[in-house]
Amino acid sequence: MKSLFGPGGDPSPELLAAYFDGEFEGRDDLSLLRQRLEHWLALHPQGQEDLAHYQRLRQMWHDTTPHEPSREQWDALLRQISASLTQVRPPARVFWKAAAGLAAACLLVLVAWSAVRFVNRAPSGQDLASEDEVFPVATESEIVIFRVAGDDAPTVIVGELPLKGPLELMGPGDVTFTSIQPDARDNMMPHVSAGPGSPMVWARLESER
Amino acid sequence: MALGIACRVSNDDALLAAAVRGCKEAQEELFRRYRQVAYRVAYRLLGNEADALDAVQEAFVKALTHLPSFEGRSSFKTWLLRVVSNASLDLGRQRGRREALSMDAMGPKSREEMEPLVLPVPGQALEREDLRRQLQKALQQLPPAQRQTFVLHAEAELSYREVAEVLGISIGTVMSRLYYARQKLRALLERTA
Repeated sequence: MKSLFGPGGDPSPELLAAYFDGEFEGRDDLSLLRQRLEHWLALHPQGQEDLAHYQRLRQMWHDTTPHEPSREQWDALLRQISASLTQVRPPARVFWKAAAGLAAACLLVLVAWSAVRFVNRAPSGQDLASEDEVFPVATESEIVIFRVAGDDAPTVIVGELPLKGPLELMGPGDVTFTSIQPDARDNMMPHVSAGPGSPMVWARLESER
Repeated sequence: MALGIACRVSNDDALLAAAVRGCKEAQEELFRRYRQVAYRVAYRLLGNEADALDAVQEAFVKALTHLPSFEGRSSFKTWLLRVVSNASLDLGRQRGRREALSMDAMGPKSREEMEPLVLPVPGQALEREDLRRQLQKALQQLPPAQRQTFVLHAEAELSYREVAEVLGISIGTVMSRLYYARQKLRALLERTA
């Protein structure tokens, strides 16, 4: 995200929008920021124009609130939901019971096998060292992402391998490329189109950092 | 419907606990409490009543089926709205693809004939219907992530923090998406006007 204020002291449009949306109301921790914005707005008429636009859009949104479905439609919907839940539940219970049984059986086998191994093997220094070893569940090359929600829109996927958290899907304008470094593995410069208009996975291995 | 003794609860937490235990009345009460906001969000994302009701149905079935896995880290409302908005976007994609295929098969002339029919409503209501159509058309042109963010904020009246929670993104990303969504809506609506 951009910084809250530009070099000339003007607030970022995102910050102004948050103020117009009432995000600072009742927030004592943001009172200084709110005062600074109010001072800026008093001196800058273009801010008032933005505010007027926000209010127009809000009014338009309010004026076009969707019609509520009728009572009969709601009742019909509830019946359909109840019917779906009745259909869904019994197989789910059977599945979970079966899964729990299978898991318990696997656990028993595992415990028995571990016990036999433990009894048959004397502890060694190597064993003690291997206790701290972390076994990866999967490496980055073993993971294939088939589908990302929103991939039909011009997007940039920002994340880091190995996967440490959720990959984030950013829209055009959410990301600003300030510099692009060549790939550490082959020294090739990644191809980036003029804007973030085409999908690109930007992921660097931890070892390259 | 009157709630049974085991399900007679008023706050969300107790209602959720009863619903998890399988109390049908509690599940129905959850539906009654949140159906309107769920419907409004689905309608704004999909643009028509029939699809919105389908999305609400799918979302409630999913939410109530997976209720035992709801950990209560957020409110039920924000959790449900996440399910509703994702179901709506998925449904929109499916319908969009299907419609695009059938429209291509029909050819350009039939496409014009398929424009939605608006029944003549007198005076202000007609104007409002026009406005709704313009706004829906503009909304549909936003990228899905921006549309979802904007609708959750504007229609469900979620704060920036709540929207961030629902979508699993940062508040900075929410601010940015809302700003760009409004800029685009402004440009699109001015062009229409």
